[in-house]
Amino acid sequence: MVEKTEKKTIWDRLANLPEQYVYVVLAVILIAPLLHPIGLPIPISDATRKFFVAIDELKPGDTVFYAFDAGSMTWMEQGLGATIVFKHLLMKPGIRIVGATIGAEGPMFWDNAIKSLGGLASYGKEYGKDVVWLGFFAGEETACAALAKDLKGTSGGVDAYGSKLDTMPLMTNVNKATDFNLLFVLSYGWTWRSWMNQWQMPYGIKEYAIPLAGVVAEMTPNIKAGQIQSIINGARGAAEYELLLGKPGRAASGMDAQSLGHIYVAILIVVGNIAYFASKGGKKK
Amino acid sequence: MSQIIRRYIPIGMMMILGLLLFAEFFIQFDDPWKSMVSNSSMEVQNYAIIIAGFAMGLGAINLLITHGSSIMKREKGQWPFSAWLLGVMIVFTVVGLWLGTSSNQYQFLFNNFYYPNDTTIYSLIGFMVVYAIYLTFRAKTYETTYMLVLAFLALLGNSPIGPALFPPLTDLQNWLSSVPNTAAVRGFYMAMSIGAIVVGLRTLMGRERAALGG
Repeated sequence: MVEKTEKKTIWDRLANLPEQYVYVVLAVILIAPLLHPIGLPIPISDATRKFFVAIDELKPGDTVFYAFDAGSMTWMEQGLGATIVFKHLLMKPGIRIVGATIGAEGPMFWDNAIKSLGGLASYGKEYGKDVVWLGFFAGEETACAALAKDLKGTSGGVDAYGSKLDTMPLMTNVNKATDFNLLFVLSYGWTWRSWMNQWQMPYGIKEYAIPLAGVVAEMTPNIKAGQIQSIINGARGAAEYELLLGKPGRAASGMDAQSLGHIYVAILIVVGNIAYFASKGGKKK
Repeated sequence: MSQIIRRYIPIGMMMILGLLLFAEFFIQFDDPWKSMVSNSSMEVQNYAIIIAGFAMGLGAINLLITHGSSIMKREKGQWPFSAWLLGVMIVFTVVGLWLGTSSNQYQFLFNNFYYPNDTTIYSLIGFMVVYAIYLTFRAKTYETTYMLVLAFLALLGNSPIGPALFPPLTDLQNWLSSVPNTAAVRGFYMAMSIGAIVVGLRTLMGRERAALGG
């Protein structure tokens, strides 16, 4: 017996496009503007502007803590924001930076970020005097709590490379959360909350976060409550920051691709719905 | 005797240490109690960090046992991957311990093998999400229509081009984020916090035994 097959209409086909077609078009849409930038506009959000002003208003002698919780999966997105913030901090004369991480992959990206920025010397900064890296601490929120109370005790009195902290000029009067003017948290997931719970809430340190764009919706109540001062919202926030700093880089050049990608998804949603209702599948409902 | 060692002593420790950390966080002490409680809780937290470090080592041993067994048994379709995993793990461990994680050799391995693989996997998820959106965001019911419209606005509002082409989208996006989204997330946080408080109280009272294996 031969089965009778229904002939598919154009709407049926549009409602169920094969995935490889969708992927190929998406790949072209993302790659093409990277090769030939279009220069689509990038409006600057209030959140990015507030973040920028906070760093810009730091004065020589101020000390900031940079929680560098980077992850290799998410570095392509969050690394853009992390690097441009690092650059701005290094560009400011007399600002002192102490870094640490509760993410196991953080140390690799700290070193990579400094290398990609051309090294500390290119900003007139010196390790031990202007910048200190404490490295990775296991224990997540417990580590945040311990670092807030006693940096030197928690790190065993040495930095990530084994050098004694007591011999470093930067660490002479710095040992606890209240010794810092601002806290910056690069967060590959939800570590911004651990730092907020253990640094912002008990000690009132102002926290600025660099989260993944996908996590921002969850942070909104904390931002509105003032527990997080401001954020850099994923790659888009990084692009805005690059423009504010007057140093358009990888993030700004990637925004054409992001804009076109979003438009493509919007078109897919519209086409998918029109085709669904025009096709037999939609009419049966 | 084994019941005392396996159950009552750990429960007692959880209660005492939990109360110590609770008191240190929530109660304002005067000296000499202040320094005593602060120093004790600091010691406990340092122990927790050390134990967490050992937990990572335990994870590595667990990987060795699981995948070592797969290789020994020559499990079909699995053992070559297990061998590859253990080989890579051993190479990273040896180079990291011998030359240090800041060495050029370790950085080379990380930047050219580990990082590109992880990034590729994350990026592929983006492609799959786009196709999933296309297939599932259909206005079949009222609920899916609400979700579809909100997702559509969030999609355009979060891209630079959306507010640039249609400026009111910024205000709309801000309202969506500040009002309905914040209300929903606050509800979620409250439920989560109440759950955490209940688990905390059960632990302090010695009734939470899940950590001891039930």
